[in-house]
Amino acid sequence: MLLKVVILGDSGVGKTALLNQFVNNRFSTSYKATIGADFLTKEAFCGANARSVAIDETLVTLQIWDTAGQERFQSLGVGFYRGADVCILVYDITQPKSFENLDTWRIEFLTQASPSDTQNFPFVVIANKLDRENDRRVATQRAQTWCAKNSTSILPFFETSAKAATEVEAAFRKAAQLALSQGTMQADFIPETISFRGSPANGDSKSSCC
Amino acid sequence: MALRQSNGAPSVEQQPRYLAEASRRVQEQGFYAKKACGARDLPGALRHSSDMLRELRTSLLTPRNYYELYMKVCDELRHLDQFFQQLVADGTPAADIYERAQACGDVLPRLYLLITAGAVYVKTMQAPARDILHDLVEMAKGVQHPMRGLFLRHYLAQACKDALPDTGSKFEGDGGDVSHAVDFILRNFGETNRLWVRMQNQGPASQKKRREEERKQLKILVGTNLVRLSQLEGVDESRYASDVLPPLLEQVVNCRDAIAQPYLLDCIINVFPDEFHLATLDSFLTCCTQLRDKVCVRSILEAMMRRLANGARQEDSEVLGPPGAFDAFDACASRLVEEKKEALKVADLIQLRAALLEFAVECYPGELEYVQRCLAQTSAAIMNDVVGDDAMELETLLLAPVSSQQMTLASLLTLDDIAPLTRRLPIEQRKNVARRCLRRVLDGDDALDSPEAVVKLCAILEPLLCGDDSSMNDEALEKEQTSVASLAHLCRSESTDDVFRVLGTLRRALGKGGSRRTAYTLPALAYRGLELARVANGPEFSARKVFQFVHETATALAGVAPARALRVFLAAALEADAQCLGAISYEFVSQAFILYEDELPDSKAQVKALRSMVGTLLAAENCDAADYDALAAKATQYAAKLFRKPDQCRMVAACSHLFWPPQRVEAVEAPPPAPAAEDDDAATVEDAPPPPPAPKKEGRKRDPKRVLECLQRSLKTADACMTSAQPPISLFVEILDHYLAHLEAGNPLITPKYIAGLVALITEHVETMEAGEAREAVERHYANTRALIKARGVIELD
Repeated sequence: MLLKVVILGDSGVGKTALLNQFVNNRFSTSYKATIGADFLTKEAFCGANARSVAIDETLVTLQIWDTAGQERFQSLGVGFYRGADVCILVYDITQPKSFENLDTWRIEFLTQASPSDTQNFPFVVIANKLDRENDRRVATQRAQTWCAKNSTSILPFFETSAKAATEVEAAFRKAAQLALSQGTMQADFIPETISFRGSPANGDSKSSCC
Repeated sequence: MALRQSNGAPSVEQQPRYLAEASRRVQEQGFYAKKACGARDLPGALRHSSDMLRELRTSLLTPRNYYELYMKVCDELRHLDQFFQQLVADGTPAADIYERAQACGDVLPRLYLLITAGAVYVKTMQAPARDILHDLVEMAKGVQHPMRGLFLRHYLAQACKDALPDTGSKFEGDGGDVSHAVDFILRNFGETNRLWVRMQNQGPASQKKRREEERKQLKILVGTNLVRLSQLEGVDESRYASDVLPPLLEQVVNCRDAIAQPYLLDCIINVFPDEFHLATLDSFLTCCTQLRDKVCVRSILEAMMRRLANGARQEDSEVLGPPGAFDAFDACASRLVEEKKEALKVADLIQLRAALLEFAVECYPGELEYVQRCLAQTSAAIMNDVVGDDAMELETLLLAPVSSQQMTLASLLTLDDIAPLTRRLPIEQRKNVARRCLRRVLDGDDALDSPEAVVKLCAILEPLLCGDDSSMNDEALEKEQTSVASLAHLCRSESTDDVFRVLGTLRRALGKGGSRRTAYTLPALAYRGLELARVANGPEFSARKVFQFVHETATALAGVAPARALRVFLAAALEADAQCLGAISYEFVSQAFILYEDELPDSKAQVKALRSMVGTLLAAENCDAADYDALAAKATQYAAKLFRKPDQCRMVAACSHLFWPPQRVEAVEAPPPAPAAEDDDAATVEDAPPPPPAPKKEGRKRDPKRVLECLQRSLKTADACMTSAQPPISLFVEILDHYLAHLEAGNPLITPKYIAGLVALITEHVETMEAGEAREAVERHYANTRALIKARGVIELD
């Protein structure tokens, strides 16, 4: 089963670093901006129920989309939001602006991805850079209030450090579990008529100058 | 081409329909392909997949919509990829699949299939990565239609990202090494860029604008290759410098395209780490001088400098400016200014200098000369006052040095160009620079240790220190001036003479602020003066001189905030008393008393002030007996004349204590001083001239009769209050407390009989009180007092 996860947040909050920590167990201090969108995949055993024991768990492939936080690096639009099963919103605890922008990211996601049930679409919020606790400028309480305000149920909130690998695994597992329990998987395409010859007459209207 | 509009542009209104139709066909063929995969039918899977891929040959879609369709296709191709891997795992040679994939007649579908099969070929380790990758990147040349080619190459980069012989990957060795991975990506990048640049010149000239718009949307397909390069583990600083950057820059220069050049350089700046940039700055800057005229080199330089400055700001960063980098940027910037003099607006120029300045401040904290140079260049470029964009840029420029954590106060004050530059700004922006500067200086907590430093700092802070303040509301002004006042606490130095000079200079600067500002700033100066008076030991300025300063400051304050001035006078009186400067102390107290009589606005302020006055008098242990008597009598008079009866009652009772002052601990009772030589503290005291003169005057006298008079008068007043609607019984309990205190202090006239009388009176009154909060409060207080009476065994309680 393939679950599509999209990570959003301001430039420099550590989206790529979180993903690299989760998928490759690696962290690099040098900052490299992301251009466009790219995904990494990771297979994981995951249960739809938070309290499930290993026996209920299924093998899922997480396709995690890392995105550019800077708008100018998204010139082709954000078509890749579509079909997402869960969205992870990331901010940097040392940058209040990145926290304030969570609203924008959330709304932008819901507008562009247009999931069938916007009310209950699962989000996970990650407060990154916990290793820089001394420079913290966004209080945990403030983020929790935001989470409570923006969700009818409990919006899971994790304080992580991609650098120290704190809570990264837990946050992604929670995202996967929400995606699974949500059951928003798109129904498979069913053709109107099943033709075993299967070559629709549609090739005529197009150029063939390749 | 039939459905394309006559001008060659995809029809905008038809886009949703085209996309929906194509998507449906992709889904349909994808469905059959998946079905075929499930049935392990390779020919069927390939056939349906190539039918699906034919949809990508469309010319009807705009880049964004084509991207959507392309993503849908990629989703479907992942199933094919899994199927191929499964086949190989089950024994089908990967070479066979690779061969079969090429059977498709149409070139675009064939290449997508070939790439998918090729990636599996490499990933299953059945062919050396380097050969297959080389094959694929060459074969992709078969598609020369720009948009289709760009997406095909994007797919190539995407599908092969896990099949590169990067350092540490399993494809290294027979598959090649990182140099092959680099070569593959560079080739793909080169071809991608060529297709992208070529779009510019295809089609009629009338469509140029639309084409440029489309190109700008497609640019990330080109940039993605650079991201791939930056992700290679095997590309370290030296490989980047020798094998990666030079071919990239060559492409940038040689493509001679005004859209590609700034974009690619922006990508390079962003995707590679700071260390790489610092190691290759010269080549990068050389490239910047070889760009098309239309390219905005300034913003490229700025982006690079800002990136490096940001990197240096990170806490655990070790990236500081390498020798020569600043000069290289500076030279490049100067040459740019020289060459494009006419084209550059003042705002551009300031912006360029601001980026250079920020870079200097953050990356070269020790090199003030760089910062000075930037500021001097800016000063030279600005002849008049600035507004609008120019002002915004100048504000940004000035904020870099004044708010940087890298700047010490001393460094900041060597930058003589700052103050004159701030004067070029409109007042609000000038104020903002001043505020940020003030905050930084206070946070930095570096000492203001010379009058010159104060003068220089105040020149930057000027808009906060004086001028029109009518536009500010009280709250904002209080907040701002409280910060300004904190400067007093930065006046520190080894030498108390220096501190005094600094404080005096600051006093003169802040004194110009007008009454609303000085109400907040003068108290801080005066209290800082009192701290100084305690330790002043300079050859030039003794404690007396400092007290004069405090007196003068408090007198100035009296005109604008009498209640605050009164407290300063009292605090000064105590300080002087502690130093046995009786006359000075008396003068301060007198000033406070004069303010009390003449200036206080209302009875509330009077009560508050009078409490402080009584407290000060009681604490002034060294006060001359005659002076003390006069002052105590005066304070009691004030108390008796208070406007409200309950206030009179309370304050007169409080004044009773003035006639039973605590007795000074006599010098003879003090322990002998420690030997001076062994004790540093003692040595300091020894050094301090002049030693406090031994109190030769008579101590303050006690007068049991006056005490009793006060208490009885207080009682009488309380009694008079009993006629009011809500009789204040609590007053009696308070008076009872005073009686008890005096009894305990040993006043012979205060006998238990008074206590017994009061207790009886209060008990009676309390019982007549209405139930409620007031009664509860009194009862609680009274119960405590009774508990004390009982504990001390003053009288028998029933």
